[in-house]
Amino acid sequence: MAVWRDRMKDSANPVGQPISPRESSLYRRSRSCRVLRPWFLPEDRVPTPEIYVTFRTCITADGQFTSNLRILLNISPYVKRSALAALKIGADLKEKNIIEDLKRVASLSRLGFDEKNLSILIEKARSMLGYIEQLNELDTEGIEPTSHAVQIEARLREDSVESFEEHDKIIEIAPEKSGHFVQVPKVIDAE
Amino acid sequence: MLSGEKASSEEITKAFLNLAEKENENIGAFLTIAPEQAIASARESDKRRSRGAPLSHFDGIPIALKDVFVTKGMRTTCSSKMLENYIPPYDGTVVEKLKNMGFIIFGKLSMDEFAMGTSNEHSAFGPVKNPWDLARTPGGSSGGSAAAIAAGLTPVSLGTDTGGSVRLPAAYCGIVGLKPTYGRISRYGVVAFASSLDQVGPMTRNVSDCAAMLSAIAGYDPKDSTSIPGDLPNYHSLLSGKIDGLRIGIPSEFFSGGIDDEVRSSIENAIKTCEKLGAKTVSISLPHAKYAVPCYYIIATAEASSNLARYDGIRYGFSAKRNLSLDDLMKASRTAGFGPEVSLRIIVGTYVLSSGYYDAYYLKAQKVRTLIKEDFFDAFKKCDLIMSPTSTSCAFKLGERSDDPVQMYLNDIFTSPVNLSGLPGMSIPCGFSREGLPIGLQIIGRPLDEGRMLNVAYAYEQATEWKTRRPPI
Amino acid sequence: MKYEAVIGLEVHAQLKTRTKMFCSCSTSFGDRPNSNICPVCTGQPGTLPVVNKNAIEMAIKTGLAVGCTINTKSIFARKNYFYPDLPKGYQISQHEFPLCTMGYMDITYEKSTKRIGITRIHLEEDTGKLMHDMGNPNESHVDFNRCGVPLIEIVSEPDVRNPKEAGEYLRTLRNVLVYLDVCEGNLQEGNFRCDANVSIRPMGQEKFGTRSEIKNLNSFKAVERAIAYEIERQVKLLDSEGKIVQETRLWNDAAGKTESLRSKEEAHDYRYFPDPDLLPLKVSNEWIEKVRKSIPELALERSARFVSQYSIPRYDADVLTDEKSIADYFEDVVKSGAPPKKASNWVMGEILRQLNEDGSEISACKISPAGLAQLISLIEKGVISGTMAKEVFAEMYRSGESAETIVKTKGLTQMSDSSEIEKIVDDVIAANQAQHAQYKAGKETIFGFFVGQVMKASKGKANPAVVNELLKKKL
Repeated sequence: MAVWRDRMKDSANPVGQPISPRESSLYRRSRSCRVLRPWFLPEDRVPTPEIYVTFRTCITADGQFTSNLRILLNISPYVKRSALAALKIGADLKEKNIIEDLKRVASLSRLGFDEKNLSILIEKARSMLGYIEQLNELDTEGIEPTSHAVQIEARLREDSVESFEEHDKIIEIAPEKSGHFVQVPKVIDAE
Repeated sequence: MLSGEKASSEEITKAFLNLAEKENENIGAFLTIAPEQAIASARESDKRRSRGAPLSHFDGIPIALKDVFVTKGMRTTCSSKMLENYIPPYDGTVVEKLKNMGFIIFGKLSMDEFAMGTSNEHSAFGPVKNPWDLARTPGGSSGGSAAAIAAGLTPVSLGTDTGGSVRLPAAYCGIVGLKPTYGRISRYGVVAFASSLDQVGPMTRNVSDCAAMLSAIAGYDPKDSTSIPGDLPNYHSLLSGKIDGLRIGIPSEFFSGGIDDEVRSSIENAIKTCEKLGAKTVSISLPHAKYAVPCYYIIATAEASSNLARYDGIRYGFSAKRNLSLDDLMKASRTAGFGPEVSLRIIVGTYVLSSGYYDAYYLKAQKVRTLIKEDFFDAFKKCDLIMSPTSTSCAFKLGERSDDPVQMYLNDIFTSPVNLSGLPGMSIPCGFSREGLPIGLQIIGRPLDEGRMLNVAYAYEQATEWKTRRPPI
Repeated sequence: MKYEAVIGLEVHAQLKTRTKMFCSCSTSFGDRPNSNICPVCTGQPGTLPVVNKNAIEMAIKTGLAVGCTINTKSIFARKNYFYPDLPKGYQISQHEFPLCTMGYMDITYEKSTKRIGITRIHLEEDTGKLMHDMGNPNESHVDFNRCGVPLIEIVSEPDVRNPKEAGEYLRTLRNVLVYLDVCEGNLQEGNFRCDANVSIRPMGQEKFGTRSEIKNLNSFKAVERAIAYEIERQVKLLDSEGKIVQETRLWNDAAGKTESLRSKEEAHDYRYFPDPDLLPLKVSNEWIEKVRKSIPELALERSARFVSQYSIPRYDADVLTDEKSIADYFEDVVKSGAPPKKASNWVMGEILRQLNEDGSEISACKISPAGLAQLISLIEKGVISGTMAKEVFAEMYRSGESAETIVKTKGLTQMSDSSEIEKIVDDVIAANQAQHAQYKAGKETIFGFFVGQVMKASKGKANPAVVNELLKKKL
């Protein structure tokens, strides 16, 4: 049985919590490849991130699933609304974290936008991240990551000096310079 | 290639310079035109050839390059305000090779900013227009190169391909564009976007020129640790035009849905033509290829966010006004210097690498990358080459897709799996839509098997008339 | 003691390669600012790193010398952060998969040996140098000469328990690096830098307390003092129900205390990931063995060998092997024929004393090992006296001439002929009748006076043994 064990360290995020063996039986592999599908989903229905979120919110912390699940997915209008509500709770929680994180990340990347532009950017980023979530459908247990497309031996360089003749040009193109130095605003924290 | 009796390099270079000046209003392909340097080089070339001592058989041929190639003493902008006035102090390896062979570099071509885009609409200096229909995009990110070749503004060019940026514009503009095996061409002196995916690619009018250019610029470079050692085949000599018994894989997933009808029929006809020439088709499956686009966007944005950290207004490039603290200076320089698409990708890239998310995004994407690669290697047990459409549609209208980033990214749906796997791929013209827009056929080969790929392309090209058509301008 | 201090030490050592870690610029120290730079180490767009083979070899050597496992596959990773002395906006380092792991360093502390674990050694590139107060108070200046110089980071296990141990560990480690010829080991020049991580916990507790990182330690003494201060500070804090915050603190040597760095808005998130521009570093077992064979004998081993091979006392051996160049010199003197104990006395006594006085290195010493051996043999043979030898030595040190030459030119050959000395003795006794009488009367100390007189009369050349014998006879 395939087990989806990738985990996010952010515990408030419902998607990506570790799955217990009991829970893993709730998934099965797609016939053609490594896509994990909740057991109740018909073969022709494409699993979306929202379905996973809903599904997970019906699973309690110790891997038991509530009997509400089957009821939830019996398509009666009232129940469908509840299901969507549950979905929304999970999604909202995730959403709040994402926005905070994106703001923090913008600062980490030394990008300082005003509120309006930042919101536009964050909206687009969220949309991108939502799209990227698709990858969670795949079971990558035991797969080696590929960090280099080429499998060759690294060629090392001999330790002999080769000066770059025009080093002064490098300083010349600096926006602010002083003598042979590049000049920057005073650095406060001396590390 | 350039037979000196007919015309001197100076005359030819001047002709191209004039054309570039004239047509730039319409198409907007050129960012920098360098007449003094070009004419001086052309004169040198004429002198050499009259002495009977040309540097190579390319000596004297003018070439314009995508503005991502670092050219010493010639402005290199990457279509970004950040590098609007950057004059590099060094030449990249490929540029050096071109100069050593006598090519005359007469201009730099527009692109999507820092190679991030699929339509050349994300340039800080205005979009490029498709010569086949000036209301449409030429594709991206090497849009300027593709448009310039299609409009006859440069005989050949070089672009870079990270997720499809050489093949897609080649398809939209009806020219030949090739992305070699990762590591085949040196990346030293190519401004980095996503280091494990970027590759230089020749863009030409026909397959023969493409093979020649590939031989000219490929090969091991000690300055690039990811460059592949070993001898280069003479690609031109491999163009026999004979493809009997060649097994062409047709991936079922690439033909299942979402492709324009005209594109589908052109591709199917092209495949039939190849069968008539002696090739056999085999049905193959690439089940994980549909995850290539999200996988690509995680890896590419992550690597880009790190590669673009060097643009901080301190040592070169755009720098905000002073009287700011250090952090504020960096923030102001970067915010003003980068366009919105670049900022978006930096933010997403930083996010997927950040603490708490690395495993779920970046590491996960690297594993999915392995799955995608394995699909190809499994497929290559049954076939020698793979064919598919280069894109789902013809060139789209300017502004049509620019608001929705995800829509834009889906342009890379057939091309990005090739970059993720490090395989060689090329696009050749295989037809036109009713509206007269070019359609591109993508051919994908085994690692380091560019020769076979070029040969099939050559055979197909010789059997068809597409390369003779010219845009209306 | 209620609390136990737990100390971990991090050392950044600059490797003595000719070129930088990822480009071919020279690493030479003290050159004109921004003269050893190129597009790669200044992070120009489009540049790529290429690994320095010698740096890897030096790192392997270091790892082997401290008993590490050398990982045949290790990965370079990018450490991303913004700072003006970091041109690329990231530092190429190693994170999850370092080159060396699981080593140790045995130190002698209070007459016993203690083993300090070494968690890992990895390679990285140095940053540029930021200079402040160069005229304009609102600006800082950047020099990229140092940017890209190879560094190894050596991280110890938190096994150190007190400041003196820390000092001992660092001194021993530094000596190893200098012995291996991989690092200059000069703290003032900044090619051997240390940071300390200090925490305390109640005696007997297993769990570690919160630690603080101490930086700006520019000498071994500073390390010891800073750690002592920090331990005390933490003890006081815990005793008064305070909480220890995980932070970086700078050692203020003048004030004698650690000070918290102004708090940053956010903690560093370095977003480590494998550098796509560099392939995984594969080190073959053959290469590792080749490096292993090239490792010179280290100080501890050498000292033990000196004791057993040359029968010199442990103390002498330790002093001699403290610096590799001195130990080499000593062995050369012995190889040139000098008896080991005498050689040891002269090297430890006269040579080291002179070098300390002048503040110079043994490499600049004008006396060659063979020359010193020759001097010693002249004394053994009785050609010159011990006292005379000191004069000869001084002259050798100053002029660089050989002992034999000096003795000949100055005519310092010891007079050993009994008849000649006897003549002088007789003269002296005759000239000093009063003292003679005093001696006869029982004042034995006058003997020394006679010795002195005879030596004076013979201009110091008389063989003291013969003088003593004759005087005893005649008086």
